Amino acid sequence: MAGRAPVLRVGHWLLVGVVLVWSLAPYLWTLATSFKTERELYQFPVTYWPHAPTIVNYVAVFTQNPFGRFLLNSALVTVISTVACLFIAALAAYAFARLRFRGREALLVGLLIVAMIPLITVIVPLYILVRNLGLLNSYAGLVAPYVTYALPVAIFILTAFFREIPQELEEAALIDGCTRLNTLWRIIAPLAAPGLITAGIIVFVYTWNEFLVALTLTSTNEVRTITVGIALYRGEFTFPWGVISAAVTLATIPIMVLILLGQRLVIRGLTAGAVKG
Amino acid sequence: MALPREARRPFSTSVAPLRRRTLADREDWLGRLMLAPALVYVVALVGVPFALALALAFSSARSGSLEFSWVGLRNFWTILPDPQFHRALWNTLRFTLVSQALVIVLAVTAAHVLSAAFVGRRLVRFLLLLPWAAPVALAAIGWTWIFDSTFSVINWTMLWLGLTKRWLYWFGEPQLATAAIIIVHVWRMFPFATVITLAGMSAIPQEISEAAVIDGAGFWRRFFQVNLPLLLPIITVAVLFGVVFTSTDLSVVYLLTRGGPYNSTHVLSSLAFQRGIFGGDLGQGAAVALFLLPVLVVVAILMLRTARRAEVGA
Repeated sequence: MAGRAPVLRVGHWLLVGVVLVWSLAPYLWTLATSFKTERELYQFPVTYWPHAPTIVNYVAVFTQNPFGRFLLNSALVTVISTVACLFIAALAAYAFARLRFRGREALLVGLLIVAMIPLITVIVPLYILVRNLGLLNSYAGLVAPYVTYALPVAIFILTAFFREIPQELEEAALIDGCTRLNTLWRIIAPLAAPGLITAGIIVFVYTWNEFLVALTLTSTNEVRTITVGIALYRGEFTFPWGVISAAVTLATIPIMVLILLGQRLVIRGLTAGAVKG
Repeated sequence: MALPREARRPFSTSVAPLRRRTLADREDWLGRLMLAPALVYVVALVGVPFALALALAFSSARSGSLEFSWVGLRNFWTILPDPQFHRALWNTLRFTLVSQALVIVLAVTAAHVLSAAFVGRRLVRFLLLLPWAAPVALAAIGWTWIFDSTFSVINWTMLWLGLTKRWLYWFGEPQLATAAIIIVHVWRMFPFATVITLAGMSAIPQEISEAAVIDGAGFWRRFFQVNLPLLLPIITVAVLFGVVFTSTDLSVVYLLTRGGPYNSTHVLSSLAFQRGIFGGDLGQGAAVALFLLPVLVVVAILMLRTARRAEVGA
């Protein structure tokens, strides 16, 4: 590219710019909206840039609404689900990647089929189940489905990563008298750390973003997660767009940080899970 | 422990095959044990609800009472002639196919633009991952403000540029509402598909492209006859992901239009939610949602076949 004519280079940058603006437009607009005063929000003509930037909306988010509570709920539910899911998925993925047992292929295909069953098909029975267990409006009622629905993806990604670890290392450990579980813990886990981080990020992202289950299984602000919480106070209050924009911006930040840190791993994990699953 | 065991097997003739067999036995046992937690979760929270969903579709269960009374195909006879159901089925197909077709074209184009080496490429890739990674429910809320009936930034910009003469009520007219939903779906899936396509492009050996250049192939010829066929498996995977996400998604329709105007933008998932959870007719909701399955079975089969072909190729 460097050796090309300047005209082509400028053209290339323009194209990159178009791609970026298109994919970031809603966030940029939400960000701009969150810094506008109430008067500037509802005035003609629309201003593209806040003329009198203000942080009143961010203050309002934390003082007027149970936003802090939603944030805490999301954080707790997501962290617990991710850790539990990784633990269970790591065991299963090791079995799929390394152990020979009857029915292994069938189980893998079965898992893929399960991953295909849309949540909306099972949401009504799930609601009945959780209600009968008395777990509506509880963290446990959310964590259990989240762990389950993230399991297939996590298992696919981890299986792909486990398969890349050289078999010889393990065999050496086994010959030296290490047990299977010890091998998993002492040899595989440190080597599979990138895989665990990748699967962890992807599970975290899925869980943090989940909407349908949280909408159906919670009905009080005590346990509502951030996506549902924000979506619902659009109806409860009279469309305070500045405050909503500030809340949306804040709720997006954890995911941004996570993706920024794990960008390369995520891309690798997505393609590995996608192609070799 | 080992000695008494050996003693209990007086018929073993040599040591080697015996050791191999016991190790295999242990692997079998250990493999199942390690899978057990995952299986228990999946059976309890996907298997059981799925079986229940099938049963519900043939029952008259309502959210008030939990009695399952068998009504045979009555729920299906109710929804099959229902124009709202036809609309939802057609919308699900339409939204999914149109958005994914646009996603393919845009993603392949964008991947070609971004594959060239330039300063800040990593930053650009990070920014591209955001629409996929950030909560779609929250992004949809952002989009409702962008499509607002009085303060829509799109309308202002288009009026200013002279692209439109009248004010567009995005959620007030069925065609515009449809366009809005498709725009959001394309926006959400296209960066993800681009990133996946880019990863696929970097896996193509440079020599192939160079050989094509030496053989005198121009840009378009290289694109259609060399790069595109090599990229096909990974593009297929990205699109299948997109199909699964778009066809089953509730949040975009629910937050943007709630199925309106005049119930013209309902998809199967939003209709199932409205009838089953809001309306309390659990049986009918379950029956509507079941119609998503044939689509997904086809996707699952295609995915398995692509995965197998990719493995053979690698």
